[in-house]
Amino acid sequence: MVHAAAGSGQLSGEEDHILARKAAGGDVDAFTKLVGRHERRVRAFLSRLCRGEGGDDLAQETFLKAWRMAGSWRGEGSYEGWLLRIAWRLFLSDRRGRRDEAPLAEGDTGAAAADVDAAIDVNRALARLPARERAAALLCLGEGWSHGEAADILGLPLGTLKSVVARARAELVRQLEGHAA
Amino acid sequence: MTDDIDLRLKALLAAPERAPDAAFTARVAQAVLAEARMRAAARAAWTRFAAEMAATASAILAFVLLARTAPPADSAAYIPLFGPAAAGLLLLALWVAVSVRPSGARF
Repeated sequence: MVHAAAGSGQLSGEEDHILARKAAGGDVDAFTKLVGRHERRVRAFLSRLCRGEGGDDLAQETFLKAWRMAGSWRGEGSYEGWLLRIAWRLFLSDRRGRRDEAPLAEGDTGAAAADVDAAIDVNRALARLPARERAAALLCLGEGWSHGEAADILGLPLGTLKSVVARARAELVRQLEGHAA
Repeated sequence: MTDDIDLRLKALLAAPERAPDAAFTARVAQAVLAEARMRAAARAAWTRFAAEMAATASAILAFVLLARTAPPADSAAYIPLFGPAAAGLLLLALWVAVSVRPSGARF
């Protein structure tokens, strides 16, 4: 487990494993604890993927699906990675249901883009990225998942994931440097 | 410089720190409980349906077999009560099969 943002590391992972095993046996209380431990990151991930629209609904659906599939969790990797994999698949499925998501037009950044804060610029740049690059940037650049873990979450070959992250990083850096200039 | 940019990106892209959202957790827990109840009800309904179908099939089969049973050879002095009695017993068995089922099966 390379993921640096998993709370208190090893102990947290072991607690997740114990709770997940109980949840697989039908223990609703154990599953509720898992929801409490992971909702922040799952919701933040989906909220930014969905660009703020329907992220919470998808997050709830993610946890419900995790409950239904609790018995199929094999304990390989982190529980949060498993949740994010479900979230990513649900996001893709939701997006297919709504046809293609509309790309943000350049004008959506607003006329006064030069005056806004760097965070807003980066978030707007993030919102303009294709969904796969957005997800890869959030996981690898924001949350500290390793390339291997992110590739597993997003269902991509490792090489593809690395180039997706590199493209996303280049675009975000361009925004940051443009803001600084 | 690269490290500095990566640190800035990390700070900008990481999920914002905040306390756990108890309302969201409670909403998910309620949905999970509702789904668990629905699953139990659906399982019970299928169990009841299967038991009723099995009982019905048994009764039909029994009546078919009874209808094919030949009467005794000395039929002059014989009062043929065997058929109705058997049918009654089978109806009783049917009632038992349908009524005696797992306690969670009723809605």
